[in-house]
Amino acid sequence: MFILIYVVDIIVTGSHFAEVNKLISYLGRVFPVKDLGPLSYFLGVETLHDGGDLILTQRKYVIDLLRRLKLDKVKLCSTPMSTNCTLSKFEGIDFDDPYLYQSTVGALHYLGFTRPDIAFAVHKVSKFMHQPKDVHWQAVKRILRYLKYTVNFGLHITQSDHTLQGFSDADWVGDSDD
Amino acid sequence: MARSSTESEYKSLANTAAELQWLQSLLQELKMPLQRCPTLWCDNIGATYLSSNPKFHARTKHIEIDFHFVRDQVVQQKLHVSFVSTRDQLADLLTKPLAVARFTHLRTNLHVQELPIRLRGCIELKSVDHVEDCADHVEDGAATKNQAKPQQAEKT
Repeated sequence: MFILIYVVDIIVTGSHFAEVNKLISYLGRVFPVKDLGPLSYFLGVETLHDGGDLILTQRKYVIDLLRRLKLDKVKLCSTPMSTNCTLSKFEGIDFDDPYLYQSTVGALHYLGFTRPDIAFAVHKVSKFMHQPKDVHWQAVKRILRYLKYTVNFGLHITQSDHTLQGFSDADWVGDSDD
Repeated sequence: MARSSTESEYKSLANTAAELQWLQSLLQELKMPLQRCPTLWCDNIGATYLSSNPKFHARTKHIEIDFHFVRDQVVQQKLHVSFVSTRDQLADLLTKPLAVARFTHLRTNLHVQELPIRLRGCIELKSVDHVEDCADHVEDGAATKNQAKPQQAEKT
């Protein structure tokens, strides 16, 4: 059985349904607990059940982020990063609102749970947190435009034969600043 | 500093092998041990060859000894290193910006997919305040969510 607790939110799950219920009713005797039934929303991550599969999505989080940045009307993009994108810390002029840059990139990091597809682009723009330039902000906006395009995407978790696979690749001389 | 692409690929192979080992011990701790040894996919033939052949190579003698631990793992059959074509190299999504077609292909392989339309309506309703509206649509009863509200919170 697995129990996950974050401040006042709790997930209880396990392969024995009766045991799970027993624990929930026990918790109910000790604390005021409200059982919200099957898992559907936890810390900004929505959970959808599709047969035996599980789909995790942060759709609402993306929509809220775009609204907050007033970017919900921007043009769409089909990839999070342009193929000839070589960001450097020596290029461009200083971006006038470094705090906005830092908080936006921080928000993008939170999407890492369900969106490994933007991981690389987010990693790239994270390198300039200390002194963001206008070109870096353009790259951040590109990620947001991609997210707007793929707002209905989520991570599909299916039952598999329980094997571990690793993919290894080296990016040789890919960084122009080093 | 790597002196050849094979060397840098080989080093990244060693780093990934260490990562896999960590994941394995995590799964062990969660009481979900693996049935088979993990597979490590690499798109560099040289590095794949180097990992399974414990022979001394004149051109790779400068590679530091700690990167050769991937060899020990292969010999002990704790790890399986296989070649994967660049087309199916999932790690590319995390090492370089890609064009649309390949990006989409690899994204699908990472299981990041568009939600089925029948499930979307459900989300539209959903917000933090309307979690319960959605509970009826959910079929699987195995996972259960609780929200505990401590007494202090109610006072405020």
